[in-house]
Amino acid sequence: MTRQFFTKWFGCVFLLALVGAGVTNAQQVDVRSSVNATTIGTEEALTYTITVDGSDGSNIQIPPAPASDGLALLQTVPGTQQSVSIVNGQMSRSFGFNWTYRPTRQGKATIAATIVKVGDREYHTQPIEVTVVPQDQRPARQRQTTPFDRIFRSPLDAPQTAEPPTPDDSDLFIRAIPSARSAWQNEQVIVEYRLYFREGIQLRQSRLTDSWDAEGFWREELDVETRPIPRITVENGLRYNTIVLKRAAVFPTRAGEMSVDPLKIESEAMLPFGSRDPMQSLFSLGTRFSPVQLASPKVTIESKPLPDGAPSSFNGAVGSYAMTVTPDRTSLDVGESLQLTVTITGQGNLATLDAPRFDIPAAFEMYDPYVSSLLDRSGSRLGGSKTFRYVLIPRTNGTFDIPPVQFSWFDPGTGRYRTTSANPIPVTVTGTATAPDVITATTNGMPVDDFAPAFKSVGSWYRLKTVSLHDRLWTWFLVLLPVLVLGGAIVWQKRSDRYQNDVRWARGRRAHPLSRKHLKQAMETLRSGDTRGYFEELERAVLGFVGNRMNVAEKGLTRPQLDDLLADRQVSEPTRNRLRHFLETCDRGRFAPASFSPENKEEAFDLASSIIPDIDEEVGE
Amino acid sequence: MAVWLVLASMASNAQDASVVQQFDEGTASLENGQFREALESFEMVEATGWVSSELYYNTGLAYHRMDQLGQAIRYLERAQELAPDDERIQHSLSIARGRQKDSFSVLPLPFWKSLHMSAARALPPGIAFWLGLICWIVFFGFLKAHLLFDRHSAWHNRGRTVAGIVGVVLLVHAFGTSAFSPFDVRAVIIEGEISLREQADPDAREVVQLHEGLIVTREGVASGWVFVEIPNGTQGWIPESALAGI
Repeated sequence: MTRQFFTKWFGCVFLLALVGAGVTNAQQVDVRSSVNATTIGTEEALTYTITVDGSDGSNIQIPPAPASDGLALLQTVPGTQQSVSIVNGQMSRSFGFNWTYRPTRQGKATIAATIVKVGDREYHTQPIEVTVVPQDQRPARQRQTTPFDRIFRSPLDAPQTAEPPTPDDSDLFIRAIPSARSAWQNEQVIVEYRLYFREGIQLRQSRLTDSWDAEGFWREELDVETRPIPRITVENGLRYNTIVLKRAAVFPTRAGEMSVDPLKIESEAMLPFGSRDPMQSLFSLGTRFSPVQLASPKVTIESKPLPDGAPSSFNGAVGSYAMTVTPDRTSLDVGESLQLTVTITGQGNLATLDAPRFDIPAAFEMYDPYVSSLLDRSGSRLGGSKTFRYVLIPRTNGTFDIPPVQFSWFDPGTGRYRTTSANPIPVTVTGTATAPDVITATTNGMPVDDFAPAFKSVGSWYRLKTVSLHDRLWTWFLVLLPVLVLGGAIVWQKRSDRYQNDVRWARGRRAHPLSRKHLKQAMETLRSGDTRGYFEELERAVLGFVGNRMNVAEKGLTRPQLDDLLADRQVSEPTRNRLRHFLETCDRGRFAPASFSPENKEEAFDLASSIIPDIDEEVGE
Repeated sequence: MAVWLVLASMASNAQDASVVQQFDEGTASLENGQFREALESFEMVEATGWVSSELYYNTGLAYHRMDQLGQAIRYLERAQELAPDDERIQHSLSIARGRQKDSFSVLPLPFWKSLHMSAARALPPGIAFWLGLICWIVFFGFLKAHLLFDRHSAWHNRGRTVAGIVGVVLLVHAFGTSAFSPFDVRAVIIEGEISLREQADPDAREVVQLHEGLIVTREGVASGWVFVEIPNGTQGWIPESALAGI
């Protein structure tokens, strides 16, 4: 033991002397504790190691051996180790202190925490628990070696068996580490695949066995180092080298629970074989590599739907963004082009980012934008920029405002929608309103994607009709007019026929008009001074009316016959008396006209006028 | 006389010279990019009661240049009603319709409505009225000859029957189409975005979002709200201020 200790210590000092001058930067100190196995047999020894990284070694105090339960310390002075690595001109050193324990009983055993002083600071290690099992039940395992073992192996050490051991799941595994287990729809989630392998294990001919997929996600690969430098980490008290195999940004395309496939690789692993024979180590490399197949666990991510209340300009972007809008000019002629560049930068799914929607003045033609993306895959998250270059061509002159371009996205950090808006861009267009030479015309001469030019003259003018056809009275009148005309003609025809065929009816219809005619003639005769003629006309009016009304020849009737006839037609006695009196008055007027005063003549006229309606009424039909 | 009346109704009417002058001024303003002044001139022409497909087209073009898609479609539709075969109007209307954001499937029309619309297009009520009136008068001429002058020849009988039937059919078509038009009362949305709601209430549940330029059918009106039907048959209420009749 003493010989081994001094041999290793000398080697460390020698190596330190070679590269010590290269140490220039003070690094952050990292103290870790580990064991060579967490399950050992009752006859096996356990190596406990404390590793200090980031110190130049001058101020490390040798730590005391940690207390233990169920284990007996075999040495009080720790074995020491030191390693130096230079990466990209940067040198780092690592110091190790190890103790050997032997189990005192079966079951759980514990190595307590201890304190490591580096300069003025104290670092506390974590307690480590190991399981002691019967010797015949101990897990098959390679002998844990360190680089120091290989460098400073003694030729006096006994040779070991040549059978290559098989690594178990704790020696070599892949871990998938998502940045989040729950995410919004289309939110960026980083899934990192790290390979863990125990110190001393070498891998070669590694390759993916199955294509990696993530159904339901939009996937973007992020850069990882092509020649990674393993980083040392402690998991469950064991020291591991880790390298990043793959880093991917995935974006859930829908809501719900979705899975990312495991990452599977095949490789050949060379375990620390433990042979102390340098010649065997040199010539039996091929036989010491064992094929291994590794797969990461499946990653499940819960995707939440985006909340309601999205602004109108939202088109699905999730992440953190900023937008700039830049026109290449603001004054141009009709038909020239204006380039409007809209650039969106930030972190998120830029590949599926749609062009911001915005309206342009109708006087402009706008073509589909030219889209270019610049993705930054080097960081821990996917970011970059996406540029939309719109070409706008004014077709008329004037001063226009290009309305503000708006872009909205969902910010998963705050859980709210955000909107950014550019300022309106005033554009002045000069020149002639039409530029036929630059307008692409259709086959019938119409401009493509624009209105046809204005009409310069009117072919036909129309009066606005405010009243419908059926609401106009004259239309109904015109329709009814033929009916009325025909009806009138028929009535007239029938009346004419009756006049010809029904003498009684015809005389009755003529009675009144004739009596009025004779009365009128009587008055004219009276005015001319012919009293005799006056009374003749009065008598003709009354007797003519009676004859027509009763359809008899009045001239051949005697006065008694007339009276009897009237009596037969139910004419009353007073009326007949008045008629007799009237006729006598007329006789006297014809034969002794000088005896009548003007008043007597008027009385006779009034009597005639009153007798006619009375007889008409009493005769009836 | 009846033939003269028919021809007179079909012929274009003479209009005031000031109307033509106002139209020319509006067109000049339109070509100089003075869209608002152009619209003022065109509105003055329309206020006189004289219209033309060219007037409506230029008005729609001015609105289009002012980025008012709804009003542009409204006037282009009117222009197309007056001149359905004009290529310039058809082209510009297709451009305007292409910029409308909504895309609804269109319900097929019932066969009887399609038939009625075809008949109304082929024989407008005005022409049908005058032709029907002529036949109506001829029918009564035959009837009068039959009733009053005892004309009973087969030629008279056939003429009377044909004139009567044709006259009645044409007059019924004219008044029927006038009173119960097969063409829907159409209107266009003139606001950028508007909600079609289940009830005439701003707090009622939204059925669907509609956008400027969509043509809807007016079904009823109630206190500042209009009950409309969109092309896919969905019905609902929108504010009256968001609509302009075609």
